[in-house]
Amino acid sequence: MEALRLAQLDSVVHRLNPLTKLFIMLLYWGTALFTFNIPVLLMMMSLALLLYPVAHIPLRILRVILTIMSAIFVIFIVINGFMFYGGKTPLFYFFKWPFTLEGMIFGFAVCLKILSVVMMIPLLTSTTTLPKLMAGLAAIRLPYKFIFTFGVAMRLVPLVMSTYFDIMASQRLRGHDIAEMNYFKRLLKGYVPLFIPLVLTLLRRTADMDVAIESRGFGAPVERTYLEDIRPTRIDIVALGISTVVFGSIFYYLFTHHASQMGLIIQF
Amino acid sequence: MPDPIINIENLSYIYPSATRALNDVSLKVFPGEYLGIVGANGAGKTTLCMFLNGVIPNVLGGRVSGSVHVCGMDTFEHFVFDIAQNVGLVLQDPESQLFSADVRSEIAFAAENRGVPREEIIERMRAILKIVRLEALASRLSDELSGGQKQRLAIAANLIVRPKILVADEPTSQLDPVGKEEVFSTLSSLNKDFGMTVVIASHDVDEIERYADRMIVLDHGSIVLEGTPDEVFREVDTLDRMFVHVPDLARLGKSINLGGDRKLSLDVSKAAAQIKTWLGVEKSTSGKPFKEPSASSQDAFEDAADGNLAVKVRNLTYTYPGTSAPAILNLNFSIPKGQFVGIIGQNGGGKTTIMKCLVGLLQPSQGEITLENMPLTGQKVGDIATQIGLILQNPDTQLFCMSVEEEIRFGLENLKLEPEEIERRTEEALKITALGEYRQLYPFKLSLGDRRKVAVASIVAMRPQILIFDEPLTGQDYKGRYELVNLAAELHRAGHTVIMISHDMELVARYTQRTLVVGRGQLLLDSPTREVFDHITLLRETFIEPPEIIRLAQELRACGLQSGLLSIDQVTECLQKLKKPVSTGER
Repeated sequence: MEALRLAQLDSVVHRLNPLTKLFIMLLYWGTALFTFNIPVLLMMMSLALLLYPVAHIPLRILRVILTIMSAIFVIFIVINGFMFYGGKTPLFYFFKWPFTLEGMIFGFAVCLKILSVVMMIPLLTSTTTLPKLMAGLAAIRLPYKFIFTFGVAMRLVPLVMSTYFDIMASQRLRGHDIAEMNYFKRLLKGYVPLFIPLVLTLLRRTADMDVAIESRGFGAPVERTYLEDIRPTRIDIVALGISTVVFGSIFYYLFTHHASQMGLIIQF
Repeated sequence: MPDPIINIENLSYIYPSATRALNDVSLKVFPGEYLGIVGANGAGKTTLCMFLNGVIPNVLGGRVSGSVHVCGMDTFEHFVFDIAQNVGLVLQDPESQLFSADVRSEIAFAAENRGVPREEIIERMRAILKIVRLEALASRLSDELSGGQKQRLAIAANLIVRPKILVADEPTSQLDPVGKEEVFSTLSSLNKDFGMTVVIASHDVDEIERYADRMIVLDHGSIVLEGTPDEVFREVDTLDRMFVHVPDLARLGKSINLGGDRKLSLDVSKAAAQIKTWLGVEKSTSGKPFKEPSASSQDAFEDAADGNLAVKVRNLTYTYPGTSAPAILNLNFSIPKGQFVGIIGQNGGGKTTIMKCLVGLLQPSQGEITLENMPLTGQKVGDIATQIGLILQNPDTQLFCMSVEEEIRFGLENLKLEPEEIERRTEEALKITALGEYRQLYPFKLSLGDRRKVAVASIVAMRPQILIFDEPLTGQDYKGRYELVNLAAELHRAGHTVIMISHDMELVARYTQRTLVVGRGQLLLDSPTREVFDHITLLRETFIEPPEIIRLAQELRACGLQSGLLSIDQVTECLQKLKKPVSTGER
């Protein structure tokens, strides 16, 4: 819901064509997934981070991402610390298993890769309105039925959430408070009184929605038009130029300085 | 006479589930007409609406006989997307018919589907936003709109393809008085200013009477009455048999004989003038003219002993997280045990926030709530539920069990009561709500009215002394709403303290002893119900209109009608007393 609201704001990033943003995001993801070079990953993350205030994205979103992913990061570092095949320098032992410096660094690099991929997402979703994104997807010739389903699903997220909270409140009024249950009790007894009314309510709503969609001429055998104008502008050309130079330089650096290590580069 | 724009002949229909919905319906609607459809829930209103744009039988299937022609098109022979160019359809639930993220894309959707060029969509949209008065909200997200605004958006989304007919199926049943007025005035403007044919199914008979040129009454799938609202609403006995709400003045007109063939007007001012003539008091006045009293929101029970109070609220303030302005500010009121209290006011005024604080779903930012002399602070919602029960407007948010009986037991099991006690209380709740015969049935097989009763039973079984009914009438027909509110009245007679939050002023006037008016997060008025409707200016600020019969009684105060008359029976009795001496020459 917040992403939908942020997308209504205005900035240079907001004004970019959704396809331009999609292209830059794919370039960024490709680079981040290709390298394990920690300085390069940190530099890319810094670039993304610099764009947050430009795009009016509050930094607390990043905090939320970090909070959600912190447990996964700890697990990655611990597992790689013990299991990394190239580990040579033990830092400590757990019983007889060594926790190595190389493994820890490798785990840290994996975490940075994941983080840089995830932190790029708000730069697309929080700066592009859903209709623009849908028009962009239509421009790359994705089937409209798929695009429309995606759009309706996004629109339904806040509706599902508010219905879920209403149901939770009405069950609390009958003494069923999921927040007071332990993990196993939740699994056994907690969710059924919440999910059955949720599914039934949503089924009823989607049946009504089906009637409304049909009534507005969905599926008419004519070539569909789009309200959103997504023709590229000068800003798109500049943005594409800059990103080609930046990511081209990164790839050049990686291939010329670390090609012998086949992309698996762990260096300070 | 022009050719009909809608021509239905001998239409009968049975749903795929084998439910017979329409029975030999024939109807002609002419271009530019405003047709109202009324009838109890299940009478066939929605089915008839869905035939008009071909959703039935094209999408929903079923067995059909007869014919439906709309704008010369046989709706059985054309796809819905073809018929949709001529017929727009607005549904009951604002949430279910908006599927785009923002206002502009929602409006554009139907035109995009028809391949209308972008520039033309923009041009049409500009004009439509003006008609539905949403220009200022064009860049908003759909979720940021109020209920009335969402329904106007749904209307706009249909208008973009320039249909000749707009069909609206109970578009105001989930709206507050402001939302209702917004939707009805928009539909009226489309009809009067743009000549659009409007067909509306609704339980809001006062609005049908005010706006429609012609109306039909459906009962068990057949048209039983047809004519102008003035003609149809005179058939009080027939409408009563079909559980259709009759406007107050039509019912009063049946009770008093104006002499000759004269009929009481359904317009309050005209009816008041007719009654004055009938009473012979056009010029002279025998009573005090109506004057608005000064409003007070002071707690009338401030000094009552705490032991006699069911609810005591002191300096209650609540601010939602992430907002700076409080939703409710510094509220003070008390409710003595055994009182039946109404809470009224515009949506967004603070009613729901008060209710959620009372049942512990929200923790007050400031202030204190005491239930039967016990402070609420620190208690769990489940424990509070044994003192105060909340019956929510949508029962479907709580029903999940396979039988009515299990549904009632659920709350009792959460309270960890003994099996014998659970059994005893379940039986008691089934008896109170008269649901005994449905005890083994799956709750979702019941009607909305009966599902609401299941919700009441499951709360009553927890034996709270205080009961809150939140908008018990939403989506209900005339019969259903009385069933539920009569149940509330029975519980009140059995000793419960009852709080009813409602937009239906007629029921508030009829059942409650005291009314709190809430608006802008504050308690604007706390008064006995017989006096509350005299505060016309204050009520208008919160978009509340007193029931017709009360407005008439206010206009007739100068003729000697006493203050505090709330029902048709009271007004009739008073008028007959006033008439008697004049007619026998005793005065």
